[in-house]
Amino acid sequence: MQDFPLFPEQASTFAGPIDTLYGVLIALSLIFGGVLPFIILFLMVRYHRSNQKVDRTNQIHSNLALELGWTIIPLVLVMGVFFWGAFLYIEMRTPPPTSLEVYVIGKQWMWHAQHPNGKRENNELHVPIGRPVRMIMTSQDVIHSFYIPAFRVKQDVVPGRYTTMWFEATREGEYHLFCAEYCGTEHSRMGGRVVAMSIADYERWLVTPGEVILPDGSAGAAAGPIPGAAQGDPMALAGGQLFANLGCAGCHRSDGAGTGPSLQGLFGNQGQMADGSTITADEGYLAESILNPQAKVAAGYGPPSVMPAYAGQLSDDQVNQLIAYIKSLSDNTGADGGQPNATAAPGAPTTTAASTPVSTAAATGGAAATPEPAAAPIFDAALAAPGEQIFASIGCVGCHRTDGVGPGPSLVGIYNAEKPLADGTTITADEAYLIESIINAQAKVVQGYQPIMPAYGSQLNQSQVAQLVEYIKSLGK
Amino acid sequence: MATTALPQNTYLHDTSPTVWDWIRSWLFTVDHKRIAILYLLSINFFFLLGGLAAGAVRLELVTPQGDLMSSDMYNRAFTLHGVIMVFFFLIPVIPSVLGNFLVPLMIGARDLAFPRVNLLSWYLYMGGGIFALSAAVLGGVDTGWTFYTPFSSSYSNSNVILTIAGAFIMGFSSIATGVNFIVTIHKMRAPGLTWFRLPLFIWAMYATSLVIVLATPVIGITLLLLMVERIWGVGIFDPALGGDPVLFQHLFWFYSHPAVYIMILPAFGVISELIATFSRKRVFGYEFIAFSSLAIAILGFLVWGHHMFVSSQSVYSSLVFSFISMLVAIPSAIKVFNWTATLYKGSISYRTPMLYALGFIGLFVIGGLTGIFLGIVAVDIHVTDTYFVVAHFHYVMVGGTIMAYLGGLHYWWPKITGRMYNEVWGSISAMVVFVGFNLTFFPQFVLGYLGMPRRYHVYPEEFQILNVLSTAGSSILALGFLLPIVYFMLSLVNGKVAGDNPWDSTGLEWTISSPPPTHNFHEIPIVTTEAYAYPPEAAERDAAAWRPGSPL
Repeated sequence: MQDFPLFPEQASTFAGPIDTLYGVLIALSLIFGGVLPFIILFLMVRYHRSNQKVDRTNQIHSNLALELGWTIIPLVLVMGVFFWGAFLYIEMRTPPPTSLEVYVIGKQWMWHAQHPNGKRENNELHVPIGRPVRMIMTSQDVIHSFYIPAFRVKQDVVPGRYTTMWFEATREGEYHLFCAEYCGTEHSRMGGRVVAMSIADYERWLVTPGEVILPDGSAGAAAGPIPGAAQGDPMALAGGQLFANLGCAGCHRSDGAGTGPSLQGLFGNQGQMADGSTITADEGYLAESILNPQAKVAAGYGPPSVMPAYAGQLSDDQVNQLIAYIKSLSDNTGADGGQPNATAAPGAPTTTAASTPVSTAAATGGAAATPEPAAAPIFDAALAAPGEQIFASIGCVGCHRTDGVGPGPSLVGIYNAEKPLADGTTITADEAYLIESIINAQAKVVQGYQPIMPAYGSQLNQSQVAQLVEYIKSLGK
Repeated sequence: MATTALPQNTYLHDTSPTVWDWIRSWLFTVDHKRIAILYLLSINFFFLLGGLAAGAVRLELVTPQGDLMSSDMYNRAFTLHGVIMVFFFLIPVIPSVLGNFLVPLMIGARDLAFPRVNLLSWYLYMGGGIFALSAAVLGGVDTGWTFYTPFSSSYSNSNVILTIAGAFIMGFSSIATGVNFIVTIHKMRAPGLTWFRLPLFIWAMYATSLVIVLATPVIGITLLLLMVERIWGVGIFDPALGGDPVLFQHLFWFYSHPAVYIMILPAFGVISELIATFSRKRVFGYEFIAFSSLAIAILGFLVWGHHMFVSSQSVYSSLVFSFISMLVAIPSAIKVFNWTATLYKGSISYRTPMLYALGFIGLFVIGGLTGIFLGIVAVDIHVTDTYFVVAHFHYVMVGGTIMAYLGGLHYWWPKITGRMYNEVWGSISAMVVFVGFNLTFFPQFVLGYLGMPRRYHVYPEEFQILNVLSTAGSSILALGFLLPIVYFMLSLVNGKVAGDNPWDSTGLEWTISSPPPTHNFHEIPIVTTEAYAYPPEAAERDAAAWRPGSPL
């Protein structure tokens, strides 16, 4: 029994202040809880009936000064500790805008965490020290509670809504992770460990192959490059791909001219609803609107909303990815995705210091996920990323679906492929062909397709067209 | 003048010719004193059952692994312990046992206002108890006594409905008792017995009854809604059905927080009586103690959110609930200070009831202070849902309510049965309870701050030593609770005959025989004095009369 600890390790910026407050409460309690019993024992002995020498005359049965005194003094003391605790509490509920965001899903009887670059883990949480981390959490079934004693933080995870908590780890090490809300048979086994590591170690860990997520949200081993997919995608990128593949971009055009509202700048801001109420577009609102669009319909778009409900069609992981993507469209992310493109571009240079660790990791993330060293890219990733955004936002994806069942041909593998045209000739789909087909689609119509593609020559400038071309090249050879 | 024989024609006697008639005279009685005995026996039975469940829990927790029983079994054990102890022991015990027996006696009445409703309340208690017992026998329930949704409404595969039905029916028993007391205290006080001449026990029962009547319907409705969701799948609390799980928590705690004041306010009343008698003087600050009971009753309705600080409740709400929780601690503190001041210049004896009262003050202070720890959100975030909370509420409920109940039971035992218990054994068991209790629950404060969550079947190795200490303490505590059963039963056979007023106490209940006649008072008394009307020199005289060999 060498050490008999009374406190868990102090491993976060909160632990010290909370332990200090706790220590003061103990001290005050010892004063009252120590002095008072002492007084009682003293009186018990002194005035025991066998003691005939004490003066028992002139008894008092009430004394207003005493009553007021022992009412007001405790009142002042509890108010003091209340305000101290209140300010500490407010700090605990105000995550810094530079927080790293980790998505957590609790379910019977395990924890699942997803880092911004896509790295997933079960029953473990790897975090960097010296950097605030904000957890965005929900439950798939019953109420659980995410508890890290060494950090002094705990937050219930509730099905049907998102809850958040934040902390900043200060000491490298491994700490307990517990579920702290009774949730059934294996409640006491639903836990694991939190691993706090230096920022460099954390970045290295982020890009080591573990489970990678694929655009459809499923987990896969890093078997090989999948055409059109980014390995170990940042969540926002995976979400962007989902946004395209599911057809969201068809209605939610970024120019606002679609059937649904543009989602640019939506996250974190207030929105007017059709029933006159105002909401703040936070994670919970986004998740609800994806799963049950009729719940809160934006003003001017119903009711009833024409958006289909995606409840039952998306995993919680996929919903989290879509949320990460939509957040990246806004300046108010409060996270490392400060600029819309920062998390969307593997290898893209970033200008925000806060996002550097993750983006750097993401830069190598895409390459490190492949078994062999990455080949020299055949496309310019810096242009392909905004190109992909344009592809989604102006609705190309609505016709040019990757599964090929749209009115237009799938563009996967089109670059430099041989293509028969409607007039019987065959062309090679090189850059010039791509540029021409965007600007003036009627020039060379592919065999088997109606000449219905609109011309974008007057809507897009040269650099935008170049970006689209780079994106199409990225879809594989 | 010593009495050597029990009085004839007490409420315990009857003229039943056959055994069957005798049984019927008890089961169909409307005498508040007999109903109190019925409650005493049935409540004690449930207490032992809940204690067995606790024993199973503590035994399992000796080792970090789950080697005594499966997780499912363990979850049912702690749920049974909680459901029985909260709904079938702590909430009814002092009101239905001591309150039923004493309220009419203390106010000079011949019975409660509604004697038949009183009997009904016991049958409702038994009905609820039978449902809860059935649930236990048929495999138990594993939701925890708090029944949080959606686990209890949609996921648990256990006897949730049966258990809830038991609690629901018991709620009506509670309400019936509350209504009875309110009307009785208002309308049936003896002539001259004004409000500020009432014993503080009556003030406590009055405040408790107000809380019972206003709060219990809320848990009734909440449990009913839970049943509706579980049986018919109506979405109220389960988000998969369109409901809100946190709504359940608000509704549940809106009752269950005032419920803890239902448990403790009567205990405060008992302590006032004990301190007065065993100091031989009037309670200090009578009006302050009386009004503090009402203040606790009112403020107790405004703090329920302090059970929900990490539930996703807003920051603003949490701060408001935290603030009011600080306030509700003050009236309790006022009581403790007033009781302490009562000791000054008193003539104190260490009889068993006083030992329990003094133990109560010490343990309740610790429990109450740790309540303040929990009311401060920044600290609560770390310790909520850990053993810190478990330790806190056991200090106030066991160290508080149960100590007061045992003290009151020993104090009024001679009035109820006409016999004295064995004082030596009484003192020993009081001390065993005190030591066993602290050994059981103080380590749990440390465990909680170290991070051990509650309702854990298995736990990390590093928590074992404290768990072993706690279980060792629980075995001592169990002994302390079992001893009184033995010597109380023995006292019925060979206890010293007590006489009308063995403690030489003021109070109308001590002016009639022990046990009292069925109709309580031959003539309704006329009250002309304050409560605790000890003459100014009573303490002096008591001390002067002490000789070596007198009772301590």
